[in-house]
Amino acid sequence: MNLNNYIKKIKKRFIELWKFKIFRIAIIIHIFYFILSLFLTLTIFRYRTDFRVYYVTAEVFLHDINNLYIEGYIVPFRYLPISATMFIPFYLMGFNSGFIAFSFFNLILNILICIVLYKIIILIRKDDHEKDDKKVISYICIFLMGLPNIYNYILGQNNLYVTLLILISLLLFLKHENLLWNLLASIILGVSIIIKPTAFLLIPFLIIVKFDLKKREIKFDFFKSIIRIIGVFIPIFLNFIFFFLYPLLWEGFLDTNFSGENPIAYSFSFSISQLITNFCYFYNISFNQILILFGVLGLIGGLGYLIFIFRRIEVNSILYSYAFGILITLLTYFDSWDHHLLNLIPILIIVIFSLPHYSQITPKISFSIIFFSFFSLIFAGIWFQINHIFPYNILPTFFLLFVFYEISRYCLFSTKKMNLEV
Amino acid sequence: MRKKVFFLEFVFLLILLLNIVSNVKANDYQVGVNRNQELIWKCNVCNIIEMDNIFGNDWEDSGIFKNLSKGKRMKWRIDNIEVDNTFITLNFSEWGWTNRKVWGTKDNYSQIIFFSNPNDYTEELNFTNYSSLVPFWFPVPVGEYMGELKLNKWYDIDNRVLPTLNVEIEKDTLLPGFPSKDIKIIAIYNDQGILNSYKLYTKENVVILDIAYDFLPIYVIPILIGFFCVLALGTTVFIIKKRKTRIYLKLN
Repeated sequence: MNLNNYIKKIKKRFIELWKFKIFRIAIIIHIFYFILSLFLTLTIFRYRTDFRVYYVTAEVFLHDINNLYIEGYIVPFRYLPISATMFIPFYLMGFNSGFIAFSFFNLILNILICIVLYKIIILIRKDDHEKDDKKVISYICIFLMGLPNIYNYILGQNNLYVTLLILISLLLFLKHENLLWNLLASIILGVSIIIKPTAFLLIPFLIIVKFDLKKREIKFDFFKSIIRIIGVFIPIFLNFIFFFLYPLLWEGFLDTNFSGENPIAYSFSFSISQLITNFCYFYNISFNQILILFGVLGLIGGLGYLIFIFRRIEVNSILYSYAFGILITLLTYFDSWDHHLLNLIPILIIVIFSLPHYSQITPKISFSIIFFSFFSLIFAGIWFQINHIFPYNILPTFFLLFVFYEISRYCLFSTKKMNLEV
Repeated sequence: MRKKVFFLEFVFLLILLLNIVSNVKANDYQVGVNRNQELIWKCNVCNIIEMDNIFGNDWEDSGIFKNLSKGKRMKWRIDNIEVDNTFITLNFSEWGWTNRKVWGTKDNYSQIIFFSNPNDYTEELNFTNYSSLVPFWFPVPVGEYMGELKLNKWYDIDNRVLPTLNVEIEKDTLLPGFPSKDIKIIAIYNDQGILNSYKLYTKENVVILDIAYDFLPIYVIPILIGFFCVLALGTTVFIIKKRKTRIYLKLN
């Protein structure tokens, strides 16, 4: 298909979609988010955005790479070194033009995310769902209208890169069974981890292991699991070239990420670890942040993994791997902010369509999507007003646990109990 | 073709506009508090024995910690604010740490002066002129102001969420023999530049002094109640609607 035909096809599809009222509203709201965030970031929040950290990171990467983790940024740089290279083109443009170009890129990423999301939904949609696209478009529009998008734009965050790569890898896993595609999907997931390690806790869920409760036997696809694990670690290990070439970089990376000095003592992050830290800070209780992190990770991560191993679901189990992996990250890691919900919301939307139409958990998950899209950020704002009397941004945590519980219930008790067949 | 040209023109215009807007100087530091505003702090924890051990017996004889003990409150009333190109000055009346419920007459009259431009301070700045080792008030935007100060190695600024000044002072570095142990201070400021929370830790992460700004904005509670009502109502309507749909589908 030549370019003209392709453009014609896109135009035709856009005209079809424009007939939906919710699509028109979503586009207008999203463009409003985009323009407002450009204005706000380049004026009021100019010195307080995460993009400034990435921008300086790119500069340090080019001129003084050994200081990548030591340089005094407004927020410490904690990601793997290759992620800094992503911002070099934007650094070379200068701050203003770089931020505008980065935001345009984010806008394009959002469009691509919607396309991949649509493709996945069409691929896994259960037969009893409506055959037209109205419901699919409505959910995608909710994602586009979601407040985490404006937060992401204002901060100049890189969550949309992660979301797109996660979705592409999920699409490949769902679409193709063979090893080569599995390897490619895993590599793409590994690239997303380089950019931001949101999907890092998803890695154990790539192992194809299941305990069959009826036959009382463990099913383990060793070869495919190994391929997946190798694939996901290939991009991650590429960073070790830099660590090998610049030993100070390795020391800085370890100090920044594993010394326990950098997590914030007091914040509106909705992870359980942060809620415990806030509690300890508020009531003057001595605490060790690393111990809290590993304690919560052991509890939530261990529980999630056990549930995943004992699952009864037979199809699309990789989708639930993704859901568990991201939920566990958001619940356990200290820094779980509202813009990270951009990684979770598309996965939850796909989960809805993978369930039977009248499944009992569908309304609960869709309600959680609404909460994450439109209300969660408001509670972050409330936290700033009341943190000196109640320092817990607890409602998003409650919804994350709620989703975790419902997905666990679905995985464990399979379809018979959980579905209301009409 | 015309549409394409129009779109490109729009994009270039947007970029140009944003470049112009963003070059406007953003940081003119101001005073976040108002004249006649009253600021009250409360001491939640004060381990006098440990404070004596660390700072000596006379730590509460003068300065901002004068007569400090657990449960006491301190009040400032802002009398006058002066901002010019060189200095930002805050004049205030002070009611020292007390258990009294009625404030009575003021104990002192004081002022805090900052340079309007934080870059006017020399390098290696510290706040040892305050017995708290951090100011109880900063010009606003506080995060940016602190961020531009060239503080000495004791101080670390964390602007990730709330403007925070982390202070770590090793044993014997303040004066010979003082502090007698390594100490750590976490001072969090609000958007008015007022010290919101002050915690002094010993190295074992034990809090020996905790001072908090005693304030709740009047609009917070009605907004919270209203918001929770809307959310609860929304949830109820959503659940009822879904249940009705399911029953309807079941019956048909």
